Amino acid sequence: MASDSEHTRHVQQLFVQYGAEVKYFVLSLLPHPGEAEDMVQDTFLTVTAKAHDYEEGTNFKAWAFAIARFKVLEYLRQKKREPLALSGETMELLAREASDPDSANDEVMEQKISHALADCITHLSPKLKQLVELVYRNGIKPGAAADQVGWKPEAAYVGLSRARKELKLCIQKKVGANF
Amino acid sequence: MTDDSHQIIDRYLDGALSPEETAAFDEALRSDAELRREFRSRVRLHGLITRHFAWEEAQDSLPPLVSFPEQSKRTNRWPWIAMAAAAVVVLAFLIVERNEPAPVFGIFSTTDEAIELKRYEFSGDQLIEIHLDSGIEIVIEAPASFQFRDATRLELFDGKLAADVPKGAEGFTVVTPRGEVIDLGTRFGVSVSEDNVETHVFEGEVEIRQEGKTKAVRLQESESMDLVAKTTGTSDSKRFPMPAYVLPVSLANPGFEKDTEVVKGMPATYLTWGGDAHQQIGRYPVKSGSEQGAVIEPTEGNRMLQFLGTTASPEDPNGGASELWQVIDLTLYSDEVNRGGVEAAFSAKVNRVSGSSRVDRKFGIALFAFQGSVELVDSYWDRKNQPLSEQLASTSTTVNSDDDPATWELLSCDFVIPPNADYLVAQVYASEDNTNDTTDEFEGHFADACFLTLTTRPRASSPTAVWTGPSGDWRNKKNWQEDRTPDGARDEVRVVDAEELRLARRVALKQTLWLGYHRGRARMRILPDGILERSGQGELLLGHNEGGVAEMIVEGKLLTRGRVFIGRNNAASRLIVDGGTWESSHGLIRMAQYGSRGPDTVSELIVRNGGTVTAERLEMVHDLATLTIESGGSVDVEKLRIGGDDGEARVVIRDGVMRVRELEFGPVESVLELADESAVIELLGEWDEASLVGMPGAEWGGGPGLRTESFARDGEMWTRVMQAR
Repeated sequence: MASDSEHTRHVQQLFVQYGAEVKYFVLSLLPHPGEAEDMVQDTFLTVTAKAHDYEEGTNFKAWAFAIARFKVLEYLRQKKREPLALSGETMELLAREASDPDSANDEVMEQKISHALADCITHLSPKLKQLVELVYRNGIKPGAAADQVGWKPEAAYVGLSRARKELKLCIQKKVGANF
Repeated sequence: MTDDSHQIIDRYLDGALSPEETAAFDEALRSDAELRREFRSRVRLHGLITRHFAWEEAQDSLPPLVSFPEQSKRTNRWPWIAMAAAAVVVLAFLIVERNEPAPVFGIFSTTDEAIELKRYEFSGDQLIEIHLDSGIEIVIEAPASFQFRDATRLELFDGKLAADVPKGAEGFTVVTPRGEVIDLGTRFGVSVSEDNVETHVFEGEVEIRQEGKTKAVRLQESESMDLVAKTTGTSDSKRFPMPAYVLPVSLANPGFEKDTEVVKGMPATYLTWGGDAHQQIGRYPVKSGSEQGAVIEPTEGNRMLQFLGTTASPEDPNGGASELWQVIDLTLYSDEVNRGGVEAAFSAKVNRVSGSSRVDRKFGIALFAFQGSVELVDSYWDRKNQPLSEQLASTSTTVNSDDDPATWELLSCDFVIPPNADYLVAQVYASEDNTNDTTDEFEGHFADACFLTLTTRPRASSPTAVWTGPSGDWRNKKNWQEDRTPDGARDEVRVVDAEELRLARRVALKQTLWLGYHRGRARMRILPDGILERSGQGELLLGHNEGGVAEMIVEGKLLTRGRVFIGRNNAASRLIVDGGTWESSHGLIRMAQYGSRGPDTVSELIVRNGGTVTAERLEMVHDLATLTIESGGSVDVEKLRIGGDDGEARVVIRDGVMRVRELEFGPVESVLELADESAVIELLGEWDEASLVGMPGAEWGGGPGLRTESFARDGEMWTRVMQAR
C-alpha cells in the first residue's frame, strides 16, 4: 500500500505526463492562452488537493478533465462569459472523446512536432511571425495585436488563420505525418 | 475538411465569434464528429504554439515585456511553468532509468533526436538530415527505411541517400541488398528500390563489395554503378539528395604567399588578385614612432600583403582606399547557385602600425555577386553604387583596427548567393579615413589570410525526365523515360536526342528544359496550337556543350521566365520564331555563351513570317551569334547588346522591325545590317546618321547610308532608322 504522499506524488506525475493533453482540452473550452494556463494551474492545485479521490488504474484523463471542466465553467460564470463559450453539453462531449485512452498522443511524436514547430515558426514571414508572437507570447488579443502590426483587426484574424495553416503544413512536411 | 471549417474554428480560438456565431458553432460541434476531430487537431496546434512560447520564455528567463500593461496574467503563469519544469526533470529521470543506455553517435539534425540502432521508416516527401559525431553528413530522402548497425555502418533497405565523409572518417559503409559500398574519403550516393540498387560517386572514390564476389570494385569520381545489372556509367548528382558540402572553390593566393603578379585595377579574369599599388612582403620593421624597431609578421605563412597607395580620380582626389579584388567563377556551380542554395563566407585579417593620430585606421572587406560576362566586370564595378541590374547582391563589413601591431584583426562577412549569379567579386581594402594625413598614404597597413568558403545547403533530389522517343508528341507518355510526361514539380527535363518532338497543346513547365543536352541532337516544334510556358526558376537551354545540336521552331507560343541560352559551351543551336510568338520576361537571353571555339558553334535567332519576340535583355556575346529578322518579323527588346569582347555578332533585318530602348555594342566591331528598304530599327531617343555611325563598336551594313526620322510614342521621343534611299 502506497503512502498518501507517494500517491499524491504519483498523481502529480500523471498530471505532468498528461499535461499537454490537459492543456489542449482546456484550450478547447477557453482558447485564450493566458487564461487557459491559469486554469491548468488551478486544475493542478485541485488535482493535488484531491489526489486521494483518484483511484489507481482508472482513466486519469477522464478524472482530470472533469476537474478542469469544472474550473473553466466556474471561471466563465464568474466572468459572465457563458454566451461566448461552448455549452456544458458540448464540453462534456469533448471531454469524453479527448479522454478516450485510444486517442492518446504519442509522446515521441509530440516531441518531434514541438521541434518541427520551433523551426517552422522561424520560417513564417516577418509580419505573420510578429503577429503570432504578439498573440501567443505576449497574450495580446488579435484585435489589439493587429494595431501593433499596422493591420485592420479583420486582417489579423485572417493572418492568424494563415499562420496556423502554414505551420501545420510545415510540421506535416517535417514529421511526415498527418497530425 | 474545408478551409471554411478551419476558419470558423480559428475564429473561435481567437475569440472573434459573436454569441450567435458561438451558439451555431456549438451546435455544429455537437452534431458533427468530423468537425470535432478537426477541432481537436486545431486546438492541439494552438496549444503547441502556446507551449512553444511559454517554454521559450521559461528558458530565456528574461524579464517580462513591460509595454503591454493589460497582460497582468503573465505573472500567474510562472508558478505553473516552474512546477512543470521541476516535474519534467523527475519524469525524465524515470525515463532514463527505465531505458537501456544507448550508444550516442549522431543525431537527426532537424530534430536533434539521438539515433538508435533500430530500424527507421520514413514516409512521404521529406529529407532526413543526419549528423554523425565523426563529422559525416548524411541525407536520406523519404520514402526510406534504414538502420544503423554501428556508428560506421548503415544498412539501407529502401530509399536514396548521399553522404559526405570528411578526412579521418574513411571506411564508412552503406550496406545494400546487393553488396556493400565502402567510402574511401568521398561524397557519394546510394539508392535502393525493389528492383534497383545503384551507387554514384560525386567526389573521391568508393569500394564496392558485391554479394557473392570476392573481388572488390573501385568506383572513381563521376562514375556510377548499377549493382543489379552490374553495369557502370556516369554519376548524376541530381538523382540524389545532397547534404551540405563545401564547394571546391577557393581564392587564388589567399595568404599572398606566391610571387604571382598582381594586375593593376579590377582583374577581368578569374584566379588573380588585382587592385591598387601594393606589395607582398615577408616582414615589416616599423621605421618610426613609439614601436620603432618592432616587426610586423604575417599572421599565417611567410608573407603578407602591404597596401601602398590608392587610385586617385577627379571625383575622389584622395582615392578613398587602397583596394584589392579577386573574381570568382560560379558558372560551374550554376545548378546549386540557381536554387539559392549556396552560402558564401569571406574573411581576412588586417593589421597596421600604431603610428600617430594621423594614421588611417579603417579596413574593410566586401563580397559582391554579379550576373553577366566577366569581361565586363570593370564597367559593372564602376557603376556598382548605382542601381545596376547586373549586381545581384552584396555584403560588407569594416573594422577600426587597434593600435597594437602584434595583433591581427579578423573581418568576416557572408551571404546567400542569389540565383543567376555568374561570379563573385571579393574585395579587401584599407581606407583613407583619416583626413589629417598629408604625407605617405599608408604608413604600414597589411592584409593576410583571406578565405572564401562556399557551402551548399542540404537539398532533395531532382529527378530528370528524359525524352526517349525519336520523334513524336510531347504529351505521349511513351516518349518519356519512366512512362510519364515531365510535369512533375521537381523534374528537370532533358531532351537529349530527338528527331522532332511536337507540342500541339499547352504545356506548363516549372523546371529547367535542356534541348540537345551534352552531345545530343534534338529538335522541338511548337505547333500553331501549342504553347510552352515556363514559370519558376528554371532555365531554357538550347544546345549545351560541344557536339550538341538543338533547334526549336516556334509556330505557336513560347513563354519563358528566367534565363535562356541559345548555344552554350560551343554547342550549335538555333531558335526560329516562325509566325509564332516568344515572350521572355524576368531574365536574360544569351546567345553563344562561351562559344566560338568549337568548329560547329552556331547561335542563331531567326524571327520570320510575322513572328514576334519580346524580351527584356538580349546579349549576343562572342562571335557567331546571329539575329535575323525577316518577312514581317518583329523583335522588341529593352536592352540589346551586340558582340562580346572577343568576337563580332551580327544582326540582319530584312523586311522586319527591331525596336530597342537601349542599344550597346561590344568592343570589337559588330554588324547591324538593314538589308532592304523595308528593314526598320526603332531606337529610343533622338538620333541622326552621324551619331548612329559614331556608336562605338557599330558597323552599319546594308544600303548606301542611313536615314532617320523622329516620332513620339507614349510621350517619349523615338528615332526610326532605315536605309538611305
